[in-house]
Amino acid sequence: MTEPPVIELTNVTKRYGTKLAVDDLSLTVAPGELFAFLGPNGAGKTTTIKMLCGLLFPTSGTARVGGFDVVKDGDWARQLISYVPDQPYLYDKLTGREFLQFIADLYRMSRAHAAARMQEVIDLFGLHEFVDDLTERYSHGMRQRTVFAAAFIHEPKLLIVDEPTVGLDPKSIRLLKDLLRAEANKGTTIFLSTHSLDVAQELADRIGIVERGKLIGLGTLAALRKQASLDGSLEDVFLKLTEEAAAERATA
Amino acid sequence: MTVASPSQGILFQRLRWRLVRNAGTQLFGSSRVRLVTMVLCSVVVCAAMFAAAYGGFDLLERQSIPPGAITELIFNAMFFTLGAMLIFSTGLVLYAGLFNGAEARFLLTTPARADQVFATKFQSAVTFSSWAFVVLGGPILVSYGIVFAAPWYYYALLPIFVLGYVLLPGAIGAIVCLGLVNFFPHRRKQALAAVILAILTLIMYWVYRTMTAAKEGLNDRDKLQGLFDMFTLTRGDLSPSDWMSRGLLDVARGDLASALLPLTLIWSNGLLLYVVAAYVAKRLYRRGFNRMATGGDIRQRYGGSVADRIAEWLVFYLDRPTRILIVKDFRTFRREPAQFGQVVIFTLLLLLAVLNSRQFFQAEIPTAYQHGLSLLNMSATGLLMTAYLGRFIYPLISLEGRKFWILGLLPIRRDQLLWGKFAFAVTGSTILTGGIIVLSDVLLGIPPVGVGVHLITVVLLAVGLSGLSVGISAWLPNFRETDPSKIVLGFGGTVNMLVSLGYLVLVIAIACGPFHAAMAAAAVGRDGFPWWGFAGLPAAAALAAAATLIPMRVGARALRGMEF
Repeated sequence: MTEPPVIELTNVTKRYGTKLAVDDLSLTVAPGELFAFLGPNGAGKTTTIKMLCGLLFPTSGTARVGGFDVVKDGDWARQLISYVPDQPYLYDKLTGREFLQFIADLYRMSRAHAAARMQEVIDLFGLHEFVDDLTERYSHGMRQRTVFAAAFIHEPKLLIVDEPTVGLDPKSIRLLKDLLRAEANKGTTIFLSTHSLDVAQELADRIGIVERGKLIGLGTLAALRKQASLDGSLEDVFLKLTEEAAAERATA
Repeated sequence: MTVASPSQGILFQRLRWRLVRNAGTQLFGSSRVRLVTMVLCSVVVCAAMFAAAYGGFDLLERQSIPPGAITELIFNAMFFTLGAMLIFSTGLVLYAGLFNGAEARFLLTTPARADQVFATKFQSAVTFSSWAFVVLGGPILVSYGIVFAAPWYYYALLPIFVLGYVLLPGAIGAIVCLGLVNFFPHRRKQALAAVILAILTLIMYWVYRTMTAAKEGLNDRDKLQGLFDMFTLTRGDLSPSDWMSRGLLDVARGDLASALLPLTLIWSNGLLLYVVAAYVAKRLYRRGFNRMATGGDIRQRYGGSVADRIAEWLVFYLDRPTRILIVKDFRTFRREPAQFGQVVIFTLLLLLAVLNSRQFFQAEIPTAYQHGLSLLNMSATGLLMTAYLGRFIYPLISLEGRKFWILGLLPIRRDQLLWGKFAFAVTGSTILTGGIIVLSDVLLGIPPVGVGVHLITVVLLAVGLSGLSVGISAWLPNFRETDPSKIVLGFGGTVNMLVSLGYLVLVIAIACGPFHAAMAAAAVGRDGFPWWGFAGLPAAAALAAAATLIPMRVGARALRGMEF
């Protein structure tokens, strides 16, 4: 029997006043899938992510996570999600360890399980040296690693990541890419929004390309190449599809 | 056995406690000087307030004037004013925390319940809004207890009364804030203005009605009664400020049984309103967040305005680069409703008080009342200036924060940045408060020489308070914080606020005190106006020079040595 999708967007439209940010978007992402969501600036990627997290509500259509409607049953849906935004938030006056404990408590982990998981993520992201310092002293890379540790600590069903590699050094990027792939293999669904097309090409099971709020391409890299009638890199495919969509819009 | 995680309520309390504890450890652990300075400044301001209040209550005691009615009037007015300000202040601080803050955006993406996020932000907002009352109002209440020999449980119950009371206006402010964001997401400035206007109109109508009623039967004997009648709104059985004053006075008299009813009324109504506010937040917070984020076009159009040009014109005496920086600061200020909203509210309330102070009297105002009221208005205006400079000018340097490199690379001297902000502060505060003082004095019939003394005092206050705010902000900046309200509550902000309050009391006492005493002496004697009436002005000018030059020099030195 096929497992129900973790993400299910059905005819989702989002307007900012008169401006259409997301236009009739329908999309499903299966458990354990690493899905890359690509698009030019202002295409509607972050708006879509914010709707998945329940920060914004769809103007029309429905967004479901793990079967829960994010508007009606948002608290249940968010229990399954970890969201790492491009500019993550940390409490300056908490230490990294206290922040991890806060997240573990927020996701209602038992004390023993939280302690074990905390040690695992501290090891995994190499936080030992600074985890007991106040986060206000952290560099950008240290903050990113702490935020990822917090995102993984409660073993989410769905990890939503917006521009994960910005500000990370090459070694950390490698670590992160391996980790995302490994988590997906373990069954975590990963929704990755990025401008780093090489990362998407390397990691993604499927890719969605959005332009001006509309989904203009969806499938594996091979399927997208076929759609673009091009046998190049993801970058070539992306540029061709987005330019075609822009030209089509101009002539419409 | 598996130990379950704590409930969200406990979790957030624990979070707040950790944040406060870590901030405290960091603040005081690294430097004992900070702790001593902070305690010392607080003690000085509290002592000054205590001494003034003690003197007043002692006078009542020595003159054998029964304290009941007069003290009840003072307490009523104090709690009523506090309540009115807390409604606006809590609403504005909550708006910034719930809808503009990075923490709220983060928490809304987690399983944190909307009402729980609201509760934690509500506590911060009420604490932030009412801390000044604790510093200023606390000594008044304590001095009353000492003068009239209140029992020990009066002091024990004081914080319980105050804590219950702040819930009431705080919850009303919260409900108004959530309502405005939900139902007027993109007309909230206009809606807020409409709410303020409506409340002010109601207050004016109330004042008019009570004054008319008081005047109808007014004769010399009834003047005091007329004064009491004016406060009928604050004194009704349904008025929370009346519950506060009656309850505290009952406790002070040792009548604990009678105090229980007002205390119960305060807490039960406060908690009920808080629960209503939390329920409204549960239903409307996420909806409001969404509506505010997406109710209008994603890109709002901003541009220059007449106000910017006026701001630049007012500092015409500065060079162009400094003027540009001032306009930048002004633009940031006017585009933040939580910032300018408070100035507008405080100014309107003060104007209202000034305009109505004349209404006490049908025809001629006795000289003693004239001078007493004008001094009271002067003090209130000085307090407005202190709040304005402390809340809005002080955070300017810290708010440059991570953008400081832009200023650091500009082809202008860093001292110039500082003096530019100083000029901006002096000009703005002098215009704002000078107008109020002239209006107040003219309405009260103060002679031109008195208006002159008050205007000089306003300028001295503006110069000294601006020097303190700008200088201390450069000396003790907090570049990590982006929330101006938290910058104000930090170590530097607290030192600035306390030193400024001390300066305010000193300058008014030195500059205006002798003048009004001399006027009173001239009114009862036959020797004319004594020479020492103006003796305080040079001393106050010297104090203003010290309050400007010392912190500005220290601040400029710190700014020159700053790395970015």
